[in-house]
Amino acid sequence: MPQLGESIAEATIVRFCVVVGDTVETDQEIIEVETNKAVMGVTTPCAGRIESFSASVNEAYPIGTVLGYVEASVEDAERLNAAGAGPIAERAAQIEPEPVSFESNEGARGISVPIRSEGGPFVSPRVRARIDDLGWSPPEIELLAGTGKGGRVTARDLENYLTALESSPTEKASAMRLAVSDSMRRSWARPLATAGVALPLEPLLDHRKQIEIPPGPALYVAKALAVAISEHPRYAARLAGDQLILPKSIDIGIAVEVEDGIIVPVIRNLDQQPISKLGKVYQDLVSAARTRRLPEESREGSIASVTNFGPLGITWATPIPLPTETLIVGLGRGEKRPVWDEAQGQFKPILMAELTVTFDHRIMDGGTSGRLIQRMMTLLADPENL
Amino acid sequence: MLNTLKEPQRDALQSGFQEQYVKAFKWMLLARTVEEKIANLWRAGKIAGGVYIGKGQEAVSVAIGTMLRRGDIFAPLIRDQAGRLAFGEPLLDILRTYLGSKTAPAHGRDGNVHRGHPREGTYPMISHLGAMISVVAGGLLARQMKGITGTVGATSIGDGGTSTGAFHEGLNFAAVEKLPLVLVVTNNQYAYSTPNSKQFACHDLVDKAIGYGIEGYNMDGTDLRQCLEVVGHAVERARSGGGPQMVVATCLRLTGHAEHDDASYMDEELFKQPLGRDCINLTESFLLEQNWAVESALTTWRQEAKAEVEAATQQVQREPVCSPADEDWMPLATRRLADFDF
Amino acid sequence: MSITYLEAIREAQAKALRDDPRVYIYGQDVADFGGAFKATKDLAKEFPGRVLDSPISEDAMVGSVVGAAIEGMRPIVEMQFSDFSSNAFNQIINQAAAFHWRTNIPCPITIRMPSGGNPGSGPFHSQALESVYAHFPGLIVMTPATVEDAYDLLLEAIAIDDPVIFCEHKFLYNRVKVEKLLERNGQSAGKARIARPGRDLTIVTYSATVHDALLAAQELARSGIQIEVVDLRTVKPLDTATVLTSIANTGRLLCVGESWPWGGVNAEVIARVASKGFHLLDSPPQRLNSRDVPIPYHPDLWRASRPSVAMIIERVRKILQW
Repeated sequence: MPQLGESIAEATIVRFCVVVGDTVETDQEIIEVETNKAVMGVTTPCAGRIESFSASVNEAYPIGTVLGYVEASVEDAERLNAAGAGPIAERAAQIEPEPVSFESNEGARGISVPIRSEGGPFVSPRVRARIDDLGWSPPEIELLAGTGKGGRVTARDLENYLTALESSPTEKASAMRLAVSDSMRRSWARPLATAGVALPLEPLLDHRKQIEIPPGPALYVAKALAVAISEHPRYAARLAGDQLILPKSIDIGIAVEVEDGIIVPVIRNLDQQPISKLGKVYQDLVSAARTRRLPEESREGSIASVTNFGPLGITWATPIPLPTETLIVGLGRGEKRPVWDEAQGQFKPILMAELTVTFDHRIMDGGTSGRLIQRMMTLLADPENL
Repeated sequence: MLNTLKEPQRDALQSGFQEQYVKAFKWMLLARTVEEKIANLWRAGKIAGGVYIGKGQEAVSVAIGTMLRRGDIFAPLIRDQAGRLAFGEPLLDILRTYLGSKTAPAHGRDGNVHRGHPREGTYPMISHLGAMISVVAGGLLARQMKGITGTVGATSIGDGGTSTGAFHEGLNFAAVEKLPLVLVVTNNQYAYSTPNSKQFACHDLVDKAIGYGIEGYNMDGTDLRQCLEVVGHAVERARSGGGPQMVVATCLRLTGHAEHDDASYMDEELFKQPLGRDCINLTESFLLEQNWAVESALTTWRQEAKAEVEAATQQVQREPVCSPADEDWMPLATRRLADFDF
Repeated sequence: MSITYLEAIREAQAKALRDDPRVYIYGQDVADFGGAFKATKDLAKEFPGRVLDSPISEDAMVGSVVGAAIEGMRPIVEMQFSDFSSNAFNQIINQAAAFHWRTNIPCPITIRMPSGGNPGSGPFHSQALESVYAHFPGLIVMTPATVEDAYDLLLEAIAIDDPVIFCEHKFLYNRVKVEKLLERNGQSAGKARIARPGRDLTIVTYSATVHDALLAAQELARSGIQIEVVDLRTVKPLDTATVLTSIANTGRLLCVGESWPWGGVNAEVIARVASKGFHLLDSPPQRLNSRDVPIPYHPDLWRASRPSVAMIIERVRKILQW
């Protein structure tokens, strides 16, 4: 059935003008059909003989239907088949076999790959809105596997993850937990490295016996750190663009464990405070910290801090400084260790604790960290100097 | 085949004509006066946009307004102040529209000569010349369909407007449907700065009437008597089933295209020819000649016109101006759609 | 006994002529001939004096129906092809569309535009101009995709007191049909319908491409992809709320339409979604239009120049990979 006119979709056979077996010429009208506009003729595509009809009078057939066959010469058959068999195919009736690439509505490279921003992966507005609702921060998405381009986490991926989470028991995180969590996440955005050494404890343990309110080992370490930094302020510099920001004053924090987290009260100008006074200072700070009544100037602003996890039984760890600090010194549990004494030709039991310094490797390299540690060791070997 | 260039009947001194003539003259005078007023206001910076006046064609225009009846349709064009007044448009309308009153027919949404009261028979024009012809014709067709007989629709157009496709389509359609349309073509020799020689090649615009298969007449646009007679005849022909009527009036535009145009391009010779005469002066002369008025009456009428215009101006100047705060910004009539997203 | 899209348009006009003496039909070849597409077949006979032939003067046709509307009639103008409406452009946008705004008098005209492409129609018998007319304030633009909407929306168009551009799609005239028409409430303008509910992506479309979208959705369903197809029904007013609700559900948008890319219906939908529904989007909204060329004549070129089922499928897959 040929395309009989604008918007015609089908036609009804009125009559056949020839019968099977008849010889026909090119463009001879052989079937009369009726559309909703007029009666028209279907003509032969070439000369030949009517081989068969596959349509009936008074039936309607859509455009493109085969109505019959003409037995034709080889040349004609080749010519007509090469030109494309049959009339124009209906769009609505079939899906084209070959997709046409259709780029004209986009940029030359198609939909752009999501870019990374704010140090995190690309987050679509919908995903951003969803994680805002949840109270997540964007880099938390980094932890999820994404099925989108470039590993992007799609809204569907997030929803699937949340659905999976729903099957686990949950409890609400405290405000303290969330604060520490945020702080550590931000701090970790830097390349942090840790160097360590074993520190003999006897010198400072002996020294503290003479002091009325004896400062703990952590305070000795803090004072040593403060002195070392005061000699070389670069140790505690911060980086902003191409500027190194040097510390205004040597303010060192001491980590205190509180319920469900840590507080780091700050002792200002620690380099100028005699070690003998530090015990009292620290005691006051701890009780204030534990009751959440730290004075303003002691709450924050440390350029470095010290954390003593020895009492918890930990021998060695790589602590993480606060986001505003560039150094943290950790002190582990003291234990007697056999140390070879060359002069005496034997192992001697020495009380030692691991001292680890985590530093921002953008500011300080391994060698410098070594110098810092050596200076602290020297000071702690002779605590009178503190 | 109609003889389209018939001579109009001459009934100059028929009784009743004097009254009509005097009344028409007063409208012309009022039109001239109010247009001088708005031209002055424009020069004083009191009017936003352009000011278009009909100086020189008051006689042609007043003839249309006078010969149409209440209930007819009139789509006035740019220089039809006299015709508008004669047809019944309030004097306040022109001042309110130009001065941006809240109470202007379009309350600020449209201005200058684009004003009208469609349901009362005055169709407001759009700027595209020729476009109103088919609208008037359509209105006449609708009346026919509703079984209303005996009404006429009239519109003006200038020599320039006859060049538009809209003119052709509208007039052709009216002719095919044999509608009672009266088309008054005022050939004032210029369309903005374009003289007739650049506007059309036919010998006389009235020759187009033959082309459209309609009746056509010439008239001297400076002669009020001839205007009343010819336009009156055309209106009668249309009203009694004669189909569309084309009346071509010859006169001269005695002003610029608009008040911002100094018309320095116009051929000075034209002002010296008969077609360059001021129809108001001619009318006054005729009144005196016929003894239908004395000089003092003319003076009085001029003063009355001035006073009427002054009073109207002052009234309008005291009225509130249109304001964005009063707008509902809703172009559609169908209220139930007002809250939809467009 | 089925009824095609074209027959529905004829039925709607017959009903309007029957129910309201103010309605009449005006166009070229609409009277005894019944119209180029037979949309007014036999109506001149059934309603003598109400179906009138016009000269080939689109400008005057529209101007005249504005005049008729002033005088209280509710005319329907048939443009023989939407492509020829450009001859009437001035009267449509400056006379009709501005009329109520300027005069406070309604202009209740309906302009029927046989729109859209057919194989072999070429550049001047195939245009889809809904985007052009939607741009102008004062006009309503309808783009029915189904037989029921062709019927309902045309009746609503005639009842609306403002100029309505009724874009009926020629390709659908005899190719879509239903068993029987159900009476509806006649207030669908500005209300889109969900032609197919889905979850993974929303296709917003109208007129003939609704059918392409549904076929594409069917094919994609075989791969487990569930496409939601929103049929706008009218592009002006445009049902932003339904579109946004759908995007809230799926997060992804593909607008499909037959008109050209620059500033059309697709661009309008995306602009609205980007400004009001930004937080709902999981991927950049996309559009699929006809190519930015005059519509080609040859059927193969024509088919490659307009959105097709295959192109829709390919685009959807691409968006889903994003």
